[in-house]
Amino acid sequence: MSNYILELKDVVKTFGGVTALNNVQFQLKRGEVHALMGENGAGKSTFIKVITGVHQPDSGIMLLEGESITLHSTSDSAKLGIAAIYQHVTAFPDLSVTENIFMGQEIMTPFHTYNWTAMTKRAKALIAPLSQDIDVTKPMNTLSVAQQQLVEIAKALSRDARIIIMDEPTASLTKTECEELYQIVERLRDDGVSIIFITHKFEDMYRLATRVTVFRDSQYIGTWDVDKISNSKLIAEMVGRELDQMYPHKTSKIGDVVLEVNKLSKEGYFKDISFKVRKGEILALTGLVGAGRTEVCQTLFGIMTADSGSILLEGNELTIKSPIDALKNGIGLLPEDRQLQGLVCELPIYQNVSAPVLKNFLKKGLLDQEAEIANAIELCSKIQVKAKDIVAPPSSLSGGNQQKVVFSKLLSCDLKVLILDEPTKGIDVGAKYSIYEIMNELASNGYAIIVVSSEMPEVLGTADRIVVMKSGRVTGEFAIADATQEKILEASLMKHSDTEQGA
Amino acid sequence: MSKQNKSSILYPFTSYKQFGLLICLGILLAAAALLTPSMFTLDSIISMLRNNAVYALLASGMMLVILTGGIDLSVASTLALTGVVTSVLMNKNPSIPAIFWVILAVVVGSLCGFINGFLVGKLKMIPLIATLGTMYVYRGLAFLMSGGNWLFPHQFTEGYVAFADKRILGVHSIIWFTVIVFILGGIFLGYTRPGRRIYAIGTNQDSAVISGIKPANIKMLAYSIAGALAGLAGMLYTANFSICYYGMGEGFEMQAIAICILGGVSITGGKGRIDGVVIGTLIMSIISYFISLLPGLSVWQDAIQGAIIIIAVGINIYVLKTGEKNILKERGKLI
Repeated sequence: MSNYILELKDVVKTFGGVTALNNVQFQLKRGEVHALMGENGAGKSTFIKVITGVHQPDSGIMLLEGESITLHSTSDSAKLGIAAIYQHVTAFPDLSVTENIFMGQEIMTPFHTYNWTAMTKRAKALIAPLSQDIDVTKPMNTLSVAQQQLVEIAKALSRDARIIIMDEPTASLTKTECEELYQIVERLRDDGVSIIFITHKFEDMYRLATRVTVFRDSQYIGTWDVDKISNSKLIAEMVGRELDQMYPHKTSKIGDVVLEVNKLSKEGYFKDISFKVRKGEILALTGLVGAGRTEVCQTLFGIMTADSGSILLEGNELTIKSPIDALKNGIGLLPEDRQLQGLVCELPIYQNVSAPVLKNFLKKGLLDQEAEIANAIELCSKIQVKAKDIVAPPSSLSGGNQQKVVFSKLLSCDLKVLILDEPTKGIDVGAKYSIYEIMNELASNGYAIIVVSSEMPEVLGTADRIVVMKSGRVTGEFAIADATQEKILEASLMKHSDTEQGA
Repeated sequence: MSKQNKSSILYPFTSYKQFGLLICLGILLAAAALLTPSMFTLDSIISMLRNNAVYALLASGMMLVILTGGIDLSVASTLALTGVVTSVLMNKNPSIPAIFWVILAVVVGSLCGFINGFLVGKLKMIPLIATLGTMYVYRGLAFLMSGGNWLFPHQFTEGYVAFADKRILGVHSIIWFTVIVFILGGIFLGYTRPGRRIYAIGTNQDSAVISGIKPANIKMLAYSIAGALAGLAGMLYTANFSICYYGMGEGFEMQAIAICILGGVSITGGKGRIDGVVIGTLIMSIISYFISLLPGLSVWQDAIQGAIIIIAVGINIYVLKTGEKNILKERGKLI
């Protein structure tokens, strides 16, 4: 009999031409908590989807208790006792907690109808040990994220799961909620459940896991006992490069304050956000997923409107009610999802570049395409977009070059403040460097830049100043000289009561 | 929120949305009773229900389709096609027992619905486009089947007409059909696996797939049931009015959609209950009946019905926004 409850050998998964998992190995012991770590895009999410049968691997084998298994769908993996709790809770928001737990495995009466009484009773029994505050008859969308995760755990337990995979479950939890989750995970482990715990937080790993496996760039890097690997070695394995060489030397001169945000609040999203950005400065807005960074940026750009607080541009108060207002005042946003929000992938590159300033190319009421093309070529060559043909659609380009097209689009407007939301997300390592170079050059040219990033090395490598958010509040602000990974992490995990005491 | 009653286990949110509709219905009834007391008799109420039963059947089917996140524009054409098929064949074979035509109508209707479901579920066509296409196809087939000719009352057999017209406990059988469909619909949506899965795919299709649900199959089922109900409605329509022509029921699909919207069925899918459709049908019927009674108002019928839909949806959006605001407020406490 095998030592391992679950074992994966040489698993390969490709999507089109992109390799998402390349010869991945994994071994899970019975009753252990096994941490799985790696940067965004390292292949962790694909890995879970292979284990749960959402995706079928191209090659490689999967062994459950020493026996080879093939999964065709999630119902196959559920039957074998494998359950996943996904990063973005995958609930049915309009259906009740009870129904969310039992969807796909309903309790029926002899007449083949739903046995609501039995299901409600069983749901209460499953939820009770996890939380006292969840009403199982309420719709899922009335619960907090932490509560929704507990429901997902209850769902996994209701299926007698032997292996539970948790995908960054602590990403948007408060410290107390995390501690409650840790205790539940420990209890599950003691009951003999094997747990794969995917996380970005070292705290989670040290607290729970006995072993840790690292993925990087779709590859298996290694597995270590948690107490036998140093923190710095682990980071080096995850990042796979020396941090200092990754970032261009800063050349910009920092000038006067351009944008000032005062006590900006939006109910349910963020509260009392204040910071300043200067000319030529790169301000990093960091924190964990769900901290409210994107929402703050969207408010500055007029996609959302704040309930209270003020935004000052060069000392004058602005009312920004729409992206048009923001652009008029010289504030531009590079959205997080370049394909969905940044580009029109069906239109030629040059039309994408000129889209925000079409009226500049009007000649007697008609578009002057040649001027449009000339302008696009000028902007694109300025930031070295590698495109064969300016009339080809952006979908013909690599991720890094697509992002550069979005940059050119922003440059075609007359802007003072650039907000970059995760500008290097899903871009390979080489291309990241050129994005950093562009950011650096833009700062030197006098733009004030706000960059939202979850990647700690990127924040430390590119920013002049760092603002950390947690649960909709600013929990720390550091000049780059004083900032360390530990300080930022500490601030991004801080409870809001701590900040109130501090303030 | 804690004062939810038992019946709202399935849907605590919509229950109070339905409450608003009930008030609306009550006001309409009171107004009708005050303004037209002489006309507001049991007999006239029954005849009003009888005239609107077909809409109720179409709306029940439409609701299932809307819950999956789709729409079915072909129901009225399905009604015409099945009505023509059963009436023409009945006219040629008057000796066959009339129950056969009811069954045939359901079969032909389900087939039409199944084709819609196949296009939308398996071939992943956009519901609006797929059913716009079949809307013309089915209407065209109805024309071919009828040869463009009308059937008049004397051409209908007694047994056939009885399926709509015969009174049981003083109420026409077409109304009883509707009542049975509502009850079965309530059981189907609230207590059966396929019924609940219709909600599941409507509220979050990706999660449904992860939970091991096959959306294509559920969609084919929903469209087939909608087709079956439209087929039944087609047969009953011809029986009710003892008339048949290929153009009958034109625009009824919009009535059905309007009833669903009025009844609180979310057009984006996943939300809505059969009692909403019941109340929606009643409100629509009362309005049209009411308008037909008041002199000079009948020219306003369409405009008033349209305005009421817009007002109802406006209220709906307001209610949803308050709901969302409350959730945000709850979350705000955590910040």
